[in-house]
Parts: sequence; structure tokens; C-alpha cells
Amino acid sequence: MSEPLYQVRGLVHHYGPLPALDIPRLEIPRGAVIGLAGPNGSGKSTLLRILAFLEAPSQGRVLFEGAPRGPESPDARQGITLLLQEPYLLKRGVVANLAYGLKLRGRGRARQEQLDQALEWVGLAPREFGRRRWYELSGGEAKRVALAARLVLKPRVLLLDEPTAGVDAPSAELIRRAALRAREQWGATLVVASHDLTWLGRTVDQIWGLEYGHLAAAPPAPPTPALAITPQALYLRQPTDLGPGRVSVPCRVAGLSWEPEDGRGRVDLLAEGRAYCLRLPLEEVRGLGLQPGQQAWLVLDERPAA
Amino acid sequence: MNYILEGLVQAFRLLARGDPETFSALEATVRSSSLAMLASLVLGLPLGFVLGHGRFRGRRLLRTLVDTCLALPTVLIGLVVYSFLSRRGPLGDWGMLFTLPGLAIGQAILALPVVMALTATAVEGLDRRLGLTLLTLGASRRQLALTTLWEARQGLLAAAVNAYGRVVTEVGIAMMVGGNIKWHTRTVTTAIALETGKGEFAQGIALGIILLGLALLVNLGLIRLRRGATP
Repeated sequence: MSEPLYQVRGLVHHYGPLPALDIPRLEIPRGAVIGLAGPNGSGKSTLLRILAFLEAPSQGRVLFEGAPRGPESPDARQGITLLLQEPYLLKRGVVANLAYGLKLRGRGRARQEQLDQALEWVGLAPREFGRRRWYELSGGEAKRVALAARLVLKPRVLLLDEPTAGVDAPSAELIRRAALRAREQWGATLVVASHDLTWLGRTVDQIWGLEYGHLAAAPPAPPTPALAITPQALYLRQPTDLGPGRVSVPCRVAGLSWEPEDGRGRVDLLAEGRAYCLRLPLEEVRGLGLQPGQQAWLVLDERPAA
Repeated sequence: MNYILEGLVQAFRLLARGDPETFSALEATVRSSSLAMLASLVLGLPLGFVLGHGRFRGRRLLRTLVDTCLALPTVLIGLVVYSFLSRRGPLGDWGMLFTLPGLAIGQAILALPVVMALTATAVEGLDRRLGLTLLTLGASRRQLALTTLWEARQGLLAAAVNAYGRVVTEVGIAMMVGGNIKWHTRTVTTAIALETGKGEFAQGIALGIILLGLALLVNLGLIRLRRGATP
């Protein structure tokens, strides 16, 4: 279907006098896996809560499958689930936590295999963990149980808020695989907020940057084919000593992504209406510490034609 | 001071030989307090949830009023309920004065603020993420309320135990609204008051010990519920 799953129009959300979120237009296609990056307080969690219809925006509309929904639309909320940054487990056993969402949907008694399968997806042995109580789990295990409790619902939209914060690398990898399974197996749409850009780049199709509530790099991609540049051309601070015949051009980091074919990271930059891209090993992209939307400078041999 | 020991012995003697007067008072106590607890829990749990969870104008003021009602004197409740239920009162036609259900009305009024205030406190004390989590799992409003109350079950149990303690030990309402009628509305507490008046201290203490035994039985019954709710 061509109609996007989400259509956001004129979204403004206030907590105080200043808007926490200001997104004039946004579309999320079905089956997309989108990453949200940005500093603390940039509006990532707010956007996720609004996409989950837990909060209604102060202004604007959020259409889900072409229709506006609100906190009072349980039917929409039952297809959409959000994993909170610090997930909360009910004061019950692990199995009862997994079965809770299914029970809400009136799917009677959850089949044991279903619950076991969800635990296996997040790398927890059902025999060992199924019997545990909510307080008998480490932080990373609790996070994975919470993710399994959402995967078992086979949600059409899976929203993850910092799923790897405070989680070790092997757990982060398990979380990545379990989340992507949702798209592979039942075509779920994912939106993932994270500070771990390396992890995010390996997980998602596109990273959108948020800064002060603005989407710094919303799709579509830059109109012109991107010119490849070398790392030496990119400056994080305004360069002073350029050398003869060279110019410095301010640019913005439009996006960070991961190219599956060669496993390299890709930094997209926009400067004076032209697109540039920089391909580097993922670790080096991480080493640059770039955030989407960030200001940087390019040093070029000549000023590009407008 | 011998009567304390005597009272202890007497308590066992009364229970062992199945003293009809004692058992009648015990039965009146159990009946009226059970009715009162049922009513106060049915009303108090949802109201307490709304008070603790809801975000509406005047919530703080209402909260303060409910907390103030924790200090409602039983004699005042007795007086008001008496005046309503007496033949000339607005509810005189119900004919409930000096009956156990009438007495239970008064005791429910006593228990209601306790259940409401402690339920509200228990719900307020829950993790803020609970509500969001339930919504993200697709809970409706009703499911949200029920699960929230279940998550707070430890606190709700404390509310019920507290309210029960007040109801089962109060004497003002039982005396004024129940009327301390032998074989009918004489409860354990009004019987103790009577025995004290007669100078039968040992008998009074025996009844007091029996009342404590009842409370012990109730709390033993709740142990099972308590289990599994705490780490």
C-alpha cells in the first residue's frame, strides 16, 4: 500500500511555554525501521509517546492509517506498543508479565509455546527465566523481558525508547535481533530512539536527528546525488588556516546510516543546497561523535556552483 | 490486679464451654463488621483509586477532607446515624435503628475514609511508569484501574486491615445505633462496656481477649494474600 502508516501534520507539543516538539510534516511508511537520534531533551521520547497515542499533541494531527487517533482509541493503541526507556515490570512472575498484554486483548490463556518463543527471541531460556519473579532479574534481563512482553503481542508498530541504555553489548545485539524480527516476521514498523549511533546505524534504515524538538534531517533524502568527500575535508570547528585556493563551507549533518553491503557507516551532509557523503568504518563514524543536525564545516577546493 | 490473669482463664473457659452469650456477641460483631467492611471496600477502593490516581480540580482539597475524616469520632457518627435512623429521622421508615444492618451503616461510615485515604496513598506511591506501561500494552481505562489496584494490593491490604481494626473495636456507634440489646445487637465491645459498668472486670477482659483473637484469625487469613506481593 502506498499510503504511509503515520502522517504527521503541523505537530506542536508544549510542556512549558517553549515547544518541546515542532514537526510541520512527517511521514512514516509501513515496514520502515526509523532511528531517532538527538541529545537529551530533544523530544525523542515525546515524539514516541505521541506516536504511541499516549499523549495528544498540543496542536496538529497525527494520522494512523489515514485516521486521527487519540489516547481514547484503544484499538489503535493495541496495534502500537512502546517500550519505555526504563521498562516497568508488573509485580508478577516473568510469564505473567508476558501474558498480560495478551490477556488484555481477550486472547484467553496465552499458549505456553508463544510465551516461550518470545523469551527465546530475546535470548532468555524459558526454563530458567519463565519461573522468575519480577525482582529476580538484572537490569538487562528486565529490559529484555519487557521487550518480549511486547513482541508476543505481534504489534504492527514497535516503538523503542533507548532500548540499549545501560545494557551490555551482547544484550544490545540480542535486542537488535529481536526487534528486527518484528519486521521480518510480521512486517512491523519500528521507530527506535537511541544515543548509541553505532548500534542504531546497524539496526535502522534511516536515522532522523532531533534537536530542540525539530527534525533536523527528515526524509526525503537530498535531491542531488551526493558527492563523496574524504574525512580530511570535514571539520567539526570552523577552520581558520585554509591554504590557498580553498574555501570553507558551513554544512549540517543530515543523517547517519549504515550501508549493509559493505558494513560501512555513511554520514550525509548538506551544504548550500548540495549533498555530500562520507563513507567510513562504523567505529570511525562513532569516533567523530556526530549528531544529526549538527553544524560542521567542509573545506573544498572551490566553491560549488549553486 | 488478679483480674487480668483471671480474665485470661475466663476467656478460654467461655470459649471452651461455648457460652451462648459470648458467642451471640461475637456473632453480632462478626456480622456487623463484615457488612460494614464489604460496603466500605466496595465504595472505598474505587473512590480511593480516583482520589489517588485522578487529576481533577479540587483533588487536594478532597484529599485533605478525607484525611480529616480519619479523625471522625465514633460517637459523632453514632449520633448522626442515630438521628437519621430514629423514628422521627429522615430514614426512620427503614426501621433500622437498633439492628445490625443499621449498626453496619455507621461502621461503614467510620471505615470509608480509612479505606479511601490508604488506597489513595497506596496508588499514589506506585511507580509513575506503571500507568504508561499498561497503556502501551493496550489497557482500557477499566483494565488500567483494575491492574493498578492489583499492583497496589499490599497497600490495599493495609487499608482493609486498618479499617477492620477500627470497625471491630469501636464502641460508640455500636452503643448508640445498635443499642446493646442482649441476644440481638450486643457486640463484644458493648458487652465489655457493660461488664465494666457492672464491675465484672475479669469477664470484660475475657471478652477483650476474645476480640483480639478474632483479629488474629482475620490477619492469619490474610497471610496468604500478603505472600507473593513483596520481594
